[in-house]
Amino acid sequence: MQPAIVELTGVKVYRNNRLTLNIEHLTIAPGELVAIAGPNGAGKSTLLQVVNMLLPYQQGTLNLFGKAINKQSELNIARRQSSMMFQETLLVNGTVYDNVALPLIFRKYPKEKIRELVMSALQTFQCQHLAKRQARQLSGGEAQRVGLARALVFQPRLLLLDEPFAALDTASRTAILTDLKQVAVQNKLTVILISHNFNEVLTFADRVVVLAGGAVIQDDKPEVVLRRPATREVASLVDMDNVLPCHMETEAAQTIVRLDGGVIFPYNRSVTSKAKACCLPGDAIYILNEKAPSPEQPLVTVSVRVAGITPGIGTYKVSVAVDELSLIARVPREQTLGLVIGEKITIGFSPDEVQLI
Amino acid sequence: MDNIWQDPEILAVAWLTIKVSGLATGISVIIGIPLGLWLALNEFYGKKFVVSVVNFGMGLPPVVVGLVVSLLLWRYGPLGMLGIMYTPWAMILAQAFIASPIIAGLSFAAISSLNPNMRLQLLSLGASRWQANMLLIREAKLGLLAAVMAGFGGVVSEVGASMMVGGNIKGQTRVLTTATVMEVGKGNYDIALALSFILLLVAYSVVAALTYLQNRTIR
Repeated sequence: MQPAIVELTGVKVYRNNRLTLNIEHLTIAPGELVAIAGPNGAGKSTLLQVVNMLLPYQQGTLNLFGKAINKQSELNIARRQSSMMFQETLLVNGTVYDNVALPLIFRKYPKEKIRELVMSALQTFQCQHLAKRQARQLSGGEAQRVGLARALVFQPRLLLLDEPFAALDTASRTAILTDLKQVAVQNKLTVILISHNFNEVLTFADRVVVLAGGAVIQDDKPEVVLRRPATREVASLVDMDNVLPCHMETEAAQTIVRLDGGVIFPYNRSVTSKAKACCLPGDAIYILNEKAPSPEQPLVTVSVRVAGITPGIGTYKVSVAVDELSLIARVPREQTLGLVIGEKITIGFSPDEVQLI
Repeated sequence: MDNIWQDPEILAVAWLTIKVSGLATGISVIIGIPLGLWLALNEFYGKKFVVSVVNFGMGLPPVVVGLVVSLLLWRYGPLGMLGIMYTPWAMILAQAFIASPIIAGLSFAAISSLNPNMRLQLLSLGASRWQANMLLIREAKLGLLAAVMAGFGGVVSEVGASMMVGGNIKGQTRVLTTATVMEVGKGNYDIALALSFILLLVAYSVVAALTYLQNRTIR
C-alpha cells in the first residue's frame, strides 16, 4: 500500500492567540481528488498553507509523501514536489512563456528541457498560442489556464488549489475543471481544491472535507455531503432546500419525528439525541397526483397549498405550505403544468431521504 | 560666463558631484532596498516603530546629518581614525545617511504594495527564499527605481551636509551645490546661475536614465 500523500495529526494553528485550525486527523491518499468546503473563516486556506508549509503550525505532526517534515531541508524537498495556486492569478511581469518556465528555472533545468516542458504544459491547457503574450494582458480565463500550466509544468505529485477559479464564469470554470480532472486522473496527481461552489465540487472531487471553525465536521463523498449534511453549517453550505425544525420522540424503541403542521413520521436511521432539525432535499419530495407515477417506497404524505413556482433548468422549484410548515419541492417541469398558486395538492416524501441534524 | 562650458574646474566640480552623489546613492541602494524588503516581508514586535523611524529618516535635515557626521569624523570623534574629514568620502558618507532612509522607506512601500500572496506563490512554485526575493524586487521595479530617483534627487540637491563635512575645498570637495552657494555669496550670480543649470542638467540626465530603465519592458 502506498503511503499517504498528506497526513495531519493533531495539527493546531493559532493566529493572534485564536485557534484557526484544529485537525485531529486527516489523510489524503495518492491520486485522490479532494475538495475542501466550508464557510468563510473556516480555516480552508490555512489548511492549504500548512500543507504547502507556507504557514507554521504550533502543535501536531505533518507527514508529506510518507515522510515527517521536521527540518528546513526536508521542507524544501517536500515543497518542490507540490504546487499551489491562489485565488488571484499572481502571474509575474513578463511573457506567458517566462511565467510557465519559472518553476523550472527555480529548479535549474537546462534551457532545452525548459522549452520542451513549457510548450507541453501550455499545450495541455490549450494556451500554446499565448506563449509570447505579456502575462498581464491575459483575460481571466486565459490567466487561470496559464496559472495551471505553470503549477503543473514540473509534474508535481500534489496540487493545492485555493479557489483559483472563483472569479470565472460558470462555463469557463466547468471547462477548466474538466481539463484539470482529466490531467489529474491521467497523471495520478493528488489534488486538494478549496471551493465555495458545490457544483464545482460535484464536477471535480471524489471526496469532500467540510471545515467549520478550523475543524473537520464532515468527510465523505460529495453526494453524501450534499444529501446528508452532518450539521446545520454543512446544510447551509450545500444549499439544502429544506431545513425544518423538528422534535423527536421515542415510542416502543422507534424514533418518531414531529414537524410543524402536524407532520409525523417514523425514523429508522441512527440519530443523536441533540438533533433539532430535519433536512429534506427538494428532489426527494413528490407531488402526488393521478398524472405522475407514485414511487414504490412508502411515503409520508402531506396536504399543502402551492405558495409559488420558480422555473429552472432541469427542475422547477415549487414552494408549498401548510400551517407553519413551508417546503420546497424540486419537480420536473411537466408536473408543474396546470398548478395554480393557492391550489391544494398532496405531496409525499420517503423518511429514508430525511437527515436529522 | 562665456567660457564656463570649457572651464576644466567647473567640469571637475560637475564630475565630482556625479561621483559623490552617485556613490552615495549606490551605497544607499545596497542598504535601503534590502532593509525595505526585509521590513515589508517580515512581521515582528515593534515593526510599526521601526517603520516610523525609517519614515522619519526620510525627512532628515541635511544640516543635522552634516553635524552628526562631522562629530563622528572629527579628529577626536569615534571615526576620527579614518581621517576622511573634508574629503569626498566624508561627503559620500553624509549623503548615504540622507539617502538610505529615503530608499528604504520607498522600497518598503513599493514591496508592500505587491500582492502579499505573491511571495507565497513563488515559494510554492519551488523558489528558494533568495530566488523569491529577487523576483519580488523585479516585480516592484517601478517603485524601487522611483525610490532610487528620490534618493539621488535628495543628495544631489543638498548643500548643508556637503558643506559641513566637505568644506567646499577647491579641487577637492567642491560640488555644484556648494559652489553655487559660494558664488552667490561672492555676488557672482551669472556663474551661480550657470552652475545651477549644470546641476539641473546632471540631475535630469540621471533621472532620465533611471526613467528609461523604469519604463523598459521587463523581460
